[in-house]
Amino acid sequence: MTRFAVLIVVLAAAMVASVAMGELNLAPRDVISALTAPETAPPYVAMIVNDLRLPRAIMALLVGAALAVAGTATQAIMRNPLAEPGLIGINSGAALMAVIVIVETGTLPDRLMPVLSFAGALGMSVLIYALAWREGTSSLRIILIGIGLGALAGAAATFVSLMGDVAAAQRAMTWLAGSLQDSRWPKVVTLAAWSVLPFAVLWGLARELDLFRMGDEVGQGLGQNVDLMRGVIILACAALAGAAVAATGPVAFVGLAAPHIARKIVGASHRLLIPAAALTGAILVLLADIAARRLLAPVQLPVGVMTAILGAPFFGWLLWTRRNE
Amino acid sequence: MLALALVALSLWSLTVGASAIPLRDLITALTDPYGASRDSIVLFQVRLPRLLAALSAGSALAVAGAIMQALTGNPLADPGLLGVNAGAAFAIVTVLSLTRIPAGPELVWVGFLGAATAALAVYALGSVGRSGTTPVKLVLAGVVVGSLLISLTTTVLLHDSGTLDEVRFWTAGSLKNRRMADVLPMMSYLLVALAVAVSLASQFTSLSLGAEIARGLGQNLALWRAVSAAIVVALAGTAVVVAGPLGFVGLVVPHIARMSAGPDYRWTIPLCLLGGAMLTLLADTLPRALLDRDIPVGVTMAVIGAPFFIHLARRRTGRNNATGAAA
Amino acid sequence: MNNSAGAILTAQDLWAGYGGAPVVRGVDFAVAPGRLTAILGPNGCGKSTLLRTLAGLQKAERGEVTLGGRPIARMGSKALARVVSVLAQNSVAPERLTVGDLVRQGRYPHRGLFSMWSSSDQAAVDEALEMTGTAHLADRAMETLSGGQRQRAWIAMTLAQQGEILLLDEPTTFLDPAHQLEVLGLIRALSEAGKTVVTVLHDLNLAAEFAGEVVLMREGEIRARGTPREALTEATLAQVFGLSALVVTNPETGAPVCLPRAPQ
Repeated sequence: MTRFAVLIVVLAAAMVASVAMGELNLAPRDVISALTAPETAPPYVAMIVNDLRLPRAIMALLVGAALAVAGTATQAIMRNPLAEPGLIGINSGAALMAVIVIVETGTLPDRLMPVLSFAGALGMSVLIYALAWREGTSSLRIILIGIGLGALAGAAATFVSLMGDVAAAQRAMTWLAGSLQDSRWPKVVTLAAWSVLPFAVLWGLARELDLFRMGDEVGQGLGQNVDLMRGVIILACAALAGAAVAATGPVAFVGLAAPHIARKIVGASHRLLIPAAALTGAILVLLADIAARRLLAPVQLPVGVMTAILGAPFFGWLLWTRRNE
Repeated sequence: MLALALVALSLWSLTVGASAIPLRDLITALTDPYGASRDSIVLFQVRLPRLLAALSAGSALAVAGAIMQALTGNPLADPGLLGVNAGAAFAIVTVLSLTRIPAGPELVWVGFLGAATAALAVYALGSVGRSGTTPVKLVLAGVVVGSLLISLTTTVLLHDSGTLDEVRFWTAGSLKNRRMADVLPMMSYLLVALAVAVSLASQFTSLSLGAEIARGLGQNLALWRAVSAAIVVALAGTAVVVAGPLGFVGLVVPHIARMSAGPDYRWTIPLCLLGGAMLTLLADTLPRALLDRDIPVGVTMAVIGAPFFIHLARRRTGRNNATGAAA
Repeated sequence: MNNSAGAILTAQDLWAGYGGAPVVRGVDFAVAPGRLTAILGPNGCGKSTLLRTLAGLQKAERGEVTLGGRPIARMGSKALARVVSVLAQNSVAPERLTVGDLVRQGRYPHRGLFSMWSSSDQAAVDEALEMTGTAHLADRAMETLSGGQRQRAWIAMTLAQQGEILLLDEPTTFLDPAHQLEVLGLIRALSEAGKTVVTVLHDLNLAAEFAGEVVLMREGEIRARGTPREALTEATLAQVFGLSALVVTNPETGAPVCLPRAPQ
């Protein structure tokens, strides 16, 4: 439990730091007073904190947690430590649908975004799974097919964004890079509402996820309803990934890195791993966002660029630690 | 045979576009390069540069893909998938944005540099470990480096809408609005690189047999790997300058070439040269002819290439590695 | 606690395969309760497929498998797993999984979706670790173990299921001779302790030494069965394996020993 306490403290610190830093740096004490007792804080501080920076910080937290949990579950059911919704193209499916919404903005309401993104993520998962099915699936095949389908969806997203004018293209591009710029309270609430159920489902199925890591045969031998469980888990992952992508665009590598870090901290059992991965993912995205805002200030990088920059070396390190296999 | 088909296809592509030019007028216009007729202007200002761009980018990428597949022993290698194109594109976009010089032939050196750096990074990342470069590791490394470079490119473009407007079709792999003055200088680089590739074809055959066998055959591995990598970088860098980061040509064409001519690169390379030119030209012309709409060739190519890649992935991963880890 | 105590696993006119031509062709087979049965046969004879179909890992194309008279196809998968445990070929544990964690997975069929870890779960796990001699390895990660220890840990997981029937698919493949003996010794001890064990084996002489009963398969059919002494004869070896062999008796144990002759 102390490990979780440490994670929560780090997360709280990252939250405060994220809210405190910006064009106008606030003292952490002011931030805390604005959060706990808004009436005592100076009005401009309360405004900056509650209207601008807090929704962004909470958005970062939620997106990080959602992608991390989706990544944890995908890694378990694909039995591959390199599988994550981004790498195997699930995010591209969600992104394609979202780009359509952005470019056709005006004709399609914003509310549809999470629904369509979810449909995109789900459609992609089903397609990957169906194409990878050849008397059973293999994780190798799933990854390669995911990459192929991801390229296809990426090309389609590019094509769609070219149909719009430059402004729409730029909006779509910002969003495709994964950005927290446009974090408003309603979007935060939508994401939270979409994430609760799939998160609860995946956590509730922790024992099934533990079994999945050992292969279908072992699960079947122990009486697991492998196909049903896999279907439910894929559905939940698609909901999480779709909601996160609808909110901020695809933020790369969180789903890859967070589960690995969390596994180092709490071990491989999913009952602990899922909450730990959620916390880790939240911390990662918060920190990446701070870096993205402050590194080249006043230029603001999209958070997805930052995670991609951090992710490539992480991936290299992952391959390095597995070099003897 | 293939060469004749390519000529016919080229002529056809010249007739297709916003205003159709009948074949007879086309020939009249072609024989009179300095004519002032509308057809002749369209032909020499618009269609011919575009045709040459398609032919050169296609053949360069296909040959580059074939050499990469031999070099890495990886049937899934392709300059697009392995991030080499993204490297060239990032370098070019960055230089354009920083220097504000108009896009010109000098950019090809920037493209070479970017392509070479990305290729090195992907190879280093993908060959980490005792098992060396396995196909999956290399593809994953390519995806990782590629997505990093693409998001960096995006970042540059987001802060510079001038450059964005200039290059956004180009980054999608579009051959629209090519000028003769852009394309012709590239052709000279390309012809040199392609000539070298064709003349060294038998070396690639030995390389493709794998490190141990090649060494056993007495091939100087370090030398020929470096030479092959240099050719790949030159071809891919040039192609990106001409057509933007165009994926899948380098994957699809070499496979088809090998299927029809076997594993000997003395046949594969020339076939790729013709086949790549043809496929790219087809991907560029077909949407114009059938849908009456200008779709970037990069998009069309993904539509053709991704299913092919998926098919390869399905065929090459057998039934019994359900529990195997990728790395 | 088990209402199917003494339940017998049988196959009636069983046909099974992988979509193409059936690999198991009309097998009738009743597992001998409380004994160690070894299924033997040349590659591709259908011995693994028979075992997998008996375990419910694979559907029968024709005929059926019954447990205590009930068709297993109509049993719940957890109910089946409480009686029949199976260890598939080449099972691979995920990285850093400890032996204890692995064995605890064996309690899966006994637990509901939200039930807590109970003392009877713990007792079953402790007993399984004890019986397989892996208790001292409980905190070790699977990948740090020797091949024989790893296989014992997998068997411990199937024991934690507390089923009375144990089906093992080539548990000794890829092990060196000493580890093969270690694993087979454990399997024999389990059957002497009252478990019903069916295992697919490759090595004729090890099967002859350890099994109480052997089943010889060829081309999807059972061609001979009985005690090793009855079933492993020069005639059956020639018929099933196409092998010309001298069968002698092990002077220490009395088990038959097959000495193949080089083809002339």
